Amino acid sequence: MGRYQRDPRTVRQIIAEEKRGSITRKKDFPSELLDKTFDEIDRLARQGNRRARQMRKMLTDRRFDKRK
Amino acid sequence: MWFTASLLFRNRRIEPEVQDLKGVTLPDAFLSAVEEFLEEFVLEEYLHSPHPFWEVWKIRLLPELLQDFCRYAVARGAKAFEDCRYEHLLGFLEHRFWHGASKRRLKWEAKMLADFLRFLWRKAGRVEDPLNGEDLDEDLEWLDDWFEESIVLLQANDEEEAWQKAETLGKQLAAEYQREAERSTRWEFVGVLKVYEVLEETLQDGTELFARFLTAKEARKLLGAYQKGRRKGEREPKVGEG
Repeated sequence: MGRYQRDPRTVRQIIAEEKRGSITRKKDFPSELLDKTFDEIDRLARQGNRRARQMRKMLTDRRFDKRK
Repeated sequence: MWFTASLLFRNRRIEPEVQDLKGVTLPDAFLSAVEEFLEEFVLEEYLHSPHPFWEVWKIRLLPELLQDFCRYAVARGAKAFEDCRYEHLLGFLEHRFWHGASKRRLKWEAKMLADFLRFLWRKAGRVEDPLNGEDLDEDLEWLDDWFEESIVLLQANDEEEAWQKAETLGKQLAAEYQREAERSTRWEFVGVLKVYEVLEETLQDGTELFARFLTAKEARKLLGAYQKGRRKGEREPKVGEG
């Protein structure tokens, strides 16, 4: 279960609203997945898609959350 | 027997994101904004705490730096001031780092560029702070190579076999990452950091999968990275000063 499960926003929106800019500085940032929802990323990750796994890991790592 | 192993990977850039920055044509509006920023803000803001090479900076290097930042933002899709974002600032600093600028120098430039980005947003009529919720000091560290620690589960007859399997798996994973990676980046398997024997036969609540000992200094370093991202209301752990 991911923290953005059933969230209708795209990854692009989640990043813009909740994540720090540094997340996009990952050298091999999977930008082709930006317009997918978390659920779509999650499904791909569970099917073994490595880039979706990378994106899922970054989204769920609180290290990249915007400072309150 | 079950083991867990900690694998370390490195992800680095092998060519800059924007190949020919100087070749990017800068719209006049950006050139005027640079001049205006230099006249109205920089002189007032920085004159009282100047950089050691302030005169050289003011006349030649600073306008060039600000213009290059604009070129970078334009190359990454910015068409107007309001399109310039914090991630462009980081991207540009990474570009500078790639071309050999020291971290000390980048720290100074970052503050200047952050002020310039705020200036661009004000000119565009945006009232928010483009750095809201960001951590510029920490983000300068992300300009360098990225490392990823991954804990994996392995079945082996003894610890030595587990190490060998971990090594093989690490190399295999790095190759898989690389196959699907952006061409401008490289994935490398740095090595196995630790192998840990799982004592329980079945997974259940509280099964210890991995453990390692840390000095207070190491623990503080880890906490520094993660405590700011803690859940609201979560208690902050205490680590003794040393």
